[in-house]
Amino acid sequence: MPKFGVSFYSYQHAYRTGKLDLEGCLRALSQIPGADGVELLATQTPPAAYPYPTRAEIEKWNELLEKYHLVPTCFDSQYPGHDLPTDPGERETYLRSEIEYASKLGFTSMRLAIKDLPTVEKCLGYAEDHNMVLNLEIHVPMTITGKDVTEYCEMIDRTGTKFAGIQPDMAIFLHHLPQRIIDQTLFGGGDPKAVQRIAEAFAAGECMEEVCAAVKQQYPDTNLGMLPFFATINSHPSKPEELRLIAPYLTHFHAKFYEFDENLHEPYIYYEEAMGVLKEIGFDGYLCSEYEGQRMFYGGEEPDEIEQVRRNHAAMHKLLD
Amino acid sequence: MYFTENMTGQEQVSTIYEGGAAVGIRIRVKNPTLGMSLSRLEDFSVQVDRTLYPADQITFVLRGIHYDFQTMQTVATVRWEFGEWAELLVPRPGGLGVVGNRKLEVSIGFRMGFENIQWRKKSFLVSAIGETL
Repeated sequence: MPKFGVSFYSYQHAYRTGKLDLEGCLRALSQIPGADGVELLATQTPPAAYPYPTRAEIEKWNELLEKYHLVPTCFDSQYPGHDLPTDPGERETYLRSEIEYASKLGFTSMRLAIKDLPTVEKCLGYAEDHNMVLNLEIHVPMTITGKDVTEYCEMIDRTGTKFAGIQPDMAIFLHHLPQRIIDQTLFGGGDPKAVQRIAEAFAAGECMEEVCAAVKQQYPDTNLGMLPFFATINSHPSKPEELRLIAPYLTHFHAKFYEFDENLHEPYIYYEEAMGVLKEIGFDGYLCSEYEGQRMFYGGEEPDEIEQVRRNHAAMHKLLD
Repeated sequence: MYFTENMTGQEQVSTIYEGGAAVGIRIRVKNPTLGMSLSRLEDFSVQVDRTLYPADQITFVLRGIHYDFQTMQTVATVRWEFGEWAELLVPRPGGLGVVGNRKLEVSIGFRMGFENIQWRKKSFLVSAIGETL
């Protein structure tokens, strides 16, 4: 049976607008039945000064975890820039510093930012010394059967390491564009016909690179915001049954979602199917909520992140029990 | 865009006075992205009506410490955290003026994540005498 947690990415709007501080996020998580796992990004909700935490901050963090009976699970590493350093020594130094920071705060796995195989292999010993599993996240536009994942699994087999694994993001099973991003684009002035073309093409599985290029040419003056990027990056979905291929390597899961309705249904992602496969293969790692729908709100409407995460957990329990 | 909506706005703008004279405009800005070092700020500017104030004319204030743009490019250990407010001090004799409205556009560019340079821009009107529009 999986374990359950929340990535504080899910509470980013509340945190950013001052409605929740770090302790508030911990408290919100502690109020979800059956959930005890904490996941976070230090670039959003740092538990202590990043990247050099003080002893007092670490002690305070541990006190808070004990107060709310929570466990640090996965630390989401990020590299602050699109162009990763080319110098191998610099890449290794950065990954080691991330492992050290995460380890000091009690995390036992890491979603990698620096993830090239030579660097990861060099750091496996350091990861083992710090009890840190280095996870390759399968995030769009990656696919379960893609080269990156295949090579990472081969590396795990070749080295025999217990300190590397795979963590998929549920959005790799997206089948329709979320209505909110469509509405957000229309609110921003997107031509309705252009937006409709993109939404329908996505649902039909067309080549979104070509469709978006054609739409931009046909409607050069319309503001389509993030829609073309979102549609393109999500246009190569994986199939839930493919999770069986990587079952031995699964260590963690990002329960990404855009919106759960009152009936605990996520209309845009194959949640039921994916949960069914995870149940069959006996996945026993953490499923950590990653709500991203708040980024699609507009016009001053406020997302209810706490309620959305609550629904996510209720849905997961319903599908797994 | 989500992060741009509450990056700044008319309620975050005020006139700076020195010795009783209006000398500039203070604009509070919320970090429009994830936590980053100051050196990741590629560029920023403020346009007031038709006048553009580039980064090297603006003072960036974070947690009470004033930075000029050239210095910021070298500061890798001070971070502008997620959700944190900073201030842009724009030197402008007369500040917001005494009548009418000013149109402001605040632009911030940074090196982060999925694209080489990401830009966040917010345009809005602000009243010269501080009335909410």
